[in-house]
Amino acid sequence: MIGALLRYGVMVTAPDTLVLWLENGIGSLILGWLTGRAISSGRKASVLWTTGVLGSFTTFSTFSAEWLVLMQDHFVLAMVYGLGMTLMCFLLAALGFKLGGQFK
Amino acid sequence: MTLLAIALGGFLGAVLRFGISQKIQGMNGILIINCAGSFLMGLSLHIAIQTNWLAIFWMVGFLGAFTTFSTFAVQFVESWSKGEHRKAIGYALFTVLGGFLSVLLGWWSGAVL
Repeated sequence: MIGALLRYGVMVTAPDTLVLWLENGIGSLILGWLTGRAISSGRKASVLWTTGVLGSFTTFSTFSAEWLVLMQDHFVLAMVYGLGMTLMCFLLAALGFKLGGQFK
Repeated sequence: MTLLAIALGGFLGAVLRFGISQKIQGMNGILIINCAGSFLMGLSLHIAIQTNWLAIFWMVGFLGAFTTFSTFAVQFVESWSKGEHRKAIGYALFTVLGGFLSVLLGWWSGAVL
């Protein structure tokens, strides 16, 4: 609920093309950090934050939909979009994980 | 009304995701969730072209919160950091290709209906 509302907040404030990159990027970074920190400290991260807020703040279905729309006219751009979003989120999640004390 | 629709949809989507990820733990659960959500999104693109509160409830709230990118990314990183490189790459490929295939199937199904 909070995550979805925050996501809507980004939707109405950020430029259309940047919205999903910001949401998924920031969400992956923070979730990576929380997860890394939880493993380092041996304590479980709060489900409210991980599954709840961050899980809902980031989204996969809109990513698929945007890819589908791009795919209709711009094949290459759609491929770059799909690969770019995935790699960016992996890297940011890894950075968060490292900041949280894992992945030394 | 818009905020209420997103809050309610988001709540339901997150709760359903939590429920499924408890039953089917780890990568498989999230993979199923992201593919199912992408299929429903493809299908919904036909039905809800105009922006009304029901479309917002369903697409921004429910499907937006039901599917997740951050958990997918972190599961990849966790698996990779444990040295399970093949498993991590397999998961990434299945998710991205599965998601794309699902949204396409949803879109085509919507065209037939």
